[in-house]
Amino acid sequence: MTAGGPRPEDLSRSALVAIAAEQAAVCRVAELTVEQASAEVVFAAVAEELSLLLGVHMVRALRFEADGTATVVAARGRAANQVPPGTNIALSGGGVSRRVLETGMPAWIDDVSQVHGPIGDRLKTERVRCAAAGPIVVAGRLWGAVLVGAETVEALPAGSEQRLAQFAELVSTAVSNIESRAHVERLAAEQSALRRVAVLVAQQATAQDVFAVVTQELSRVVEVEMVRTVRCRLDGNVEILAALGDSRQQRLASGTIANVPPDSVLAEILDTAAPARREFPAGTATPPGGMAGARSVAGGPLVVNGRLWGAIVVGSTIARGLPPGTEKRVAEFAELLSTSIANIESRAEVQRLVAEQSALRRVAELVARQASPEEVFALVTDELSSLLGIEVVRTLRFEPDGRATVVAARGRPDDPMPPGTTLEVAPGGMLDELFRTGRPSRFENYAQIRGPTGAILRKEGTNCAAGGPIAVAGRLWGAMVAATSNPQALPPGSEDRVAEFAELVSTAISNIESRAELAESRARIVRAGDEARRSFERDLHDGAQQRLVALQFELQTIDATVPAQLPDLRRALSSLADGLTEVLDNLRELSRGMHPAVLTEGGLTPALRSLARRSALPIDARIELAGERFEEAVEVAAYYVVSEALTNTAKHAEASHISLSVLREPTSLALSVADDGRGGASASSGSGLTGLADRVEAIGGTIRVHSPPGEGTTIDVTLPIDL
Amino acid sequence: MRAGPVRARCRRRPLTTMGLRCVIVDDNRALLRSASNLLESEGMSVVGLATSIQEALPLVAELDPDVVLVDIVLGPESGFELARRLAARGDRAHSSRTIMISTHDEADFADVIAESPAIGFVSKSKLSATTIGALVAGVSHRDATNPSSR
Repeated sequence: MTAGGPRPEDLSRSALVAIAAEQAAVCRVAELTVEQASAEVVFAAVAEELSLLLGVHMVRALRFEADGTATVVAARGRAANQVPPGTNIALSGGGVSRRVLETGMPAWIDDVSQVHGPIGDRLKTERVRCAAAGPIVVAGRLWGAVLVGAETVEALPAGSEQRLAQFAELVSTAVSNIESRAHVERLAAEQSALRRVAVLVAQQATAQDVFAVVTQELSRVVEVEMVRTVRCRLDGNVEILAALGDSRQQRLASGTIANVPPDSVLAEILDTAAPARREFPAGTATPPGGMAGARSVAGGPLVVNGRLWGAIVVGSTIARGLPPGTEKRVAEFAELLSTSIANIESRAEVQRLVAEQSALRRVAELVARQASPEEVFALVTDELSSLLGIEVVRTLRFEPDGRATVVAARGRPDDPMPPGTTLEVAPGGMLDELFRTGRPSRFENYAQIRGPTGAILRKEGTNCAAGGPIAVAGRLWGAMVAATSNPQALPPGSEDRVAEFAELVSTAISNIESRAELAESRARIVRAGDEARRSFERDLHDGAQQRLVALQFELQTIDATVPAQLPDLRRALSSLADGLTEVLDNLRELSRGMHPAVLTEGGLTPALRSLARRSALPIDARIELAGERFEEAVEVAAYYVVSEALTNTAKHAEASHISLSVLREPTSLALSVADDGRGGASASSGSGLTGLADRVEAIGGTIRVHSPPGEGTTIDVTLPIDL
Repeated sequence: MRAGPVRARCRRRPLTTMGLRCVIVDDNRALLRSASNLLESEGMSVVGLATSIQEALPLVAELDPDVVLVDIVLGPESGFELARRLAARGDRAHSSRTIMISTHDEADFADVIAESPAIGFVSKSKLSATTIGALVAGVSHRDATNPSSR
């Protein structure tokens, strides 16, 4: 290569040399492209080749940005150190670059003294008199420009811009390669970043772990130092999910609740749900709470299932700021994240539902086990406490006088309001609002609450409470309340979760009440039946039986007076008496089946002994009741259990022996009837056992039938005794 | 009281029902009448009838019969209760003998009878001077052989 421009006498030769030089230059650039050199290396080579080829001392390669500025990608010349690659420059009006940007065509200026501003100053420094520029078009789009400058018009004659344009066109290919490769690399980086995030989500990592990784990946993909990922809260604040490279990082641990700095990039993103960007030149500062020390801040919204969910903001402290378009890249990355976030969200929702369902199941099982209301309250209170992670949870019942009674509590060790405490509903407090509206309620300002309850709550350290109504049969029955010293532990919306549990309690109470009603009506039916049988037995005894007995006495009396000479009359009388006896025997059996008179007269011990004596099978009877009398329903039930069991055994069990034991336990009667028969009896088969179960359960007792085939049958019954 | 000589006479004739003085307690008046007729026809002396504990106690105290037949079920009252109260009369060591009667089966009440002061039980369908006499005679026999048993 020769220095200096072509001389007129060497035109043809110089044309040939120029063509050869151009080809050589393009070749060198093409080689670099093939070698997949970095953009910086390629542009530097382009600048050098141009400088040599055209014999000019100033070369710039620029990339046009969307905002009308340009970024220097390569620079040669005396002032090149002032505009190193990466520098963002404004394009002055009247300059060649600006003309290329405006027209998309090559441009030439013979006197750059008209160019003002920093560019004009630099041109003067470089003693550039005349300049030419050609467009770099990549994939049909004006990508940038190549710009050269010379000291004399002669060194850069008119038409040079066309040669420059030809060269630039050839360079476009290389640029296009670099661009597409960079794009592919960026996409690959984003894809692998997203894949790592997706893997984490699939591994059911916690949301915090996921966002920590998201933030790191983003800083790598977008090449920024500062990243913050935040989630919107209902109260208008944000929760920091992850923060990276922030000088205030220590104070922004994940989980921190922070306000949205007014007039910040974050505020703009959350207001518009669109990407935003702001520059903070030297001498200006980011808003308090923003990214301290950042020269450039950009970010995009996180939109999940159509809802503004949060935002990602990145920042750079480097003087030249974030590359143009960073906010769009962040927004694109954020968009790709939304599926993962939706997964995390739905998983959290599923986990919450699963947790609540198992809590519900445990409560339902307890209700089904016929646990007392106190046990159910205690369990629900504990479940809610562990689900919310709140230490103080109370179940309260509203009293007719407007006060409330604690029926279950999970509190601190020295709970000032243990179960059984009746308290005034503090006016203006959470419970007051819940009582007035019948709706879930949350309250935070306990310092203002007057009255004794307010004082107790303050002493307890309650700063925030959330409650849900317990409604039974359309009536406000009470409330479940969660209380904490830390309002962040019960964020707005918590009252709805408490209310979900209060609904469980409502169901449980309804169940308990309806079960109590059911048990009561069962017991009432049994009592009514017993009463009817006993009354029928009395009628039988006092009426038919006595009349027949009296008739029998009369027959006997007559019989004694009938003379022996009238044998026909005596036979007739005797036959009549036998018939009467038979009728009386049948009546006696009927009467006993209706209601054993001995039970009324002598109680369980003689009644059970008489049953044992009449047993069709050999029997061992152990009856240890010390002659004690019990409630009639208990005695009748016990009698029928034994009577029915003995009858069943005789009929079906093919047994050879029966063991009967009736023992007095502290609060119950324990009955056991065991045989050595064939077993296989079932209470569900519609046998007499079903009727027994009804009768036993009606008075709150339990029955257990153990009857493995071939191993005999044991019926264990417990009957509670009202002491 | 004229009870002393009467009972002395009874004990002199332990194996016969003839003239055995008897009070019957049953809440059914028709049955009282027919039972009374039957036993009278068989040679016993039915000296009094009562339908409740309240009627029976002063009557027995006044008449001091050899035997009191007590229905187990006296309407709302218990015949066993009457038997206990008759036995509990503290004014003399040798009170009237009580026999429980009922339309119910003896087996049903065996334990209650055994624990009661009654000397025995007669089913109403088996009621006769002979069965009563046998029970009284059995007790008298035990009295004679083992006076300390009472």
